[in-house]
Amino acid sequence: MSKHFWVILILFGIAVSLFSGTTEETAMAGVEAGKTAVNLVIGVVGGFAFWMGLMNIAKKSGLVGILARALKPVILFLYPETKNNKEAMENLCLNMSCNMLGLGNGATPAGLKAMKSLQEKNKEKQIATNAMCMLLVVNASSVQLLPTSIITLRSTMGSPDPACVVPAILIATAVSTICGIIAVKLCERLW
Amino acid sequence: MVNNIILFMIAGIIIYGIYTGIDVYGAFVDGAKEGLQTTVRIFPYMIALMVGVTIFRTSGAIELLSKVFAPLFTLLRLPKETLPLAILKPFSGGASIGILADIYAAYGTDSYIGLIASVMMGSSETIFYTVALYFGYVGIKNTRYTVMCAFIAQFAGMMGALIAVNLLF
Repeated sequence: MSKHFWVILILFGIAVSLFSGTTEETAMAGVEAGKTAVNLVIGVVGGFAFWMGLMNIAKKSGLVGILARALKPVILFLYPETKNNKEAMENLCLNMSCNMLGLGNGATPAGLKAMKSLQEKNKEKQIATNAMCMLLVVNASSVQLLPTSIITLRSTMGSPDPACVVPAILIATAVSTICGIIAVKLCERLW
Repeated sequence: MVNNIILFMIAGIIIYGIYTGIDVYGAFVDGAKEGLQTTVRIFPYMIALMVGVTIFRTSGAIELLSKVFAPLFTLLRLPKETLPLAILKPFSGGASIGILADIYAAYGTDSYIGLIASVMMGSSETIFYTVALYFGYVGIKNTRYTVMCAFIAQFAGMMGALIAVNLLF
């Protein structure tokens, strides 16, 4: 799926650039994009390493286990197939907690670890399991309690009340996440 | 406030680790090492996505798609000035924060358009980025209904943004 989108993205972009006369800039930008990606990775690598280091302490000490027990009903509702997969369940808990706190650099590595532990139990290695689809949709619709990047941008752009959008964002993000979960649960049965 | 919470969290995790008698330093270093390995594994996917998004964005495709989707936005009563944001957000979080800044600069942070754009930005995530990263990481080829459901969520978030802003402001 993502393979096709990538091809469409590039070919569609090139086609548009031919018609709108932006071929020069587009070619330049495309070649330079690798550099931007490197900067992006440099930007996140420290955060990934830091949060995974900290999460590893929490895991070894059993703190994540306590958290997992508390979140178990939610996790089992969203990801029933993790019932006997303790490793996946712990990583899913970490992913969920980091998402809620808006710690993107913690949520991503935890989510990736969860994917890995789900993949270990997956019988058909090329096809996503129900839990994987759910994990993706939950992460793509982000349950974030404090949208720090938006508040920061609003305040630097001179908003008189940068945080006034927070309640509205909470409503919208809840609507988005709940609809996403319902959609996945329906697809699980129909697909 | 957020930073204070984070600080307490770090302290709490380390103190609990010492209390349970584990090698706190060793555990951190092991985890950090894993974090670095993870980054190396997702690196190629990030480069591929960045190349695609950049070509797409520079070519003027967003302006074109904005025109195509404008009637739909009018129909849904969403301000069409927020269209570029809605189109780019699924691909790139970094690029869409730039578009959000453009919208703020053009229409003001607390105008109706500015508010809708803020809420829209906060209610959805970068679908293709997440899909490329997570599924690429474990080598899944068939993602089944994931992208469709993520778009349903995104669409619901957009409508939620419209309703919430009209309700609260």
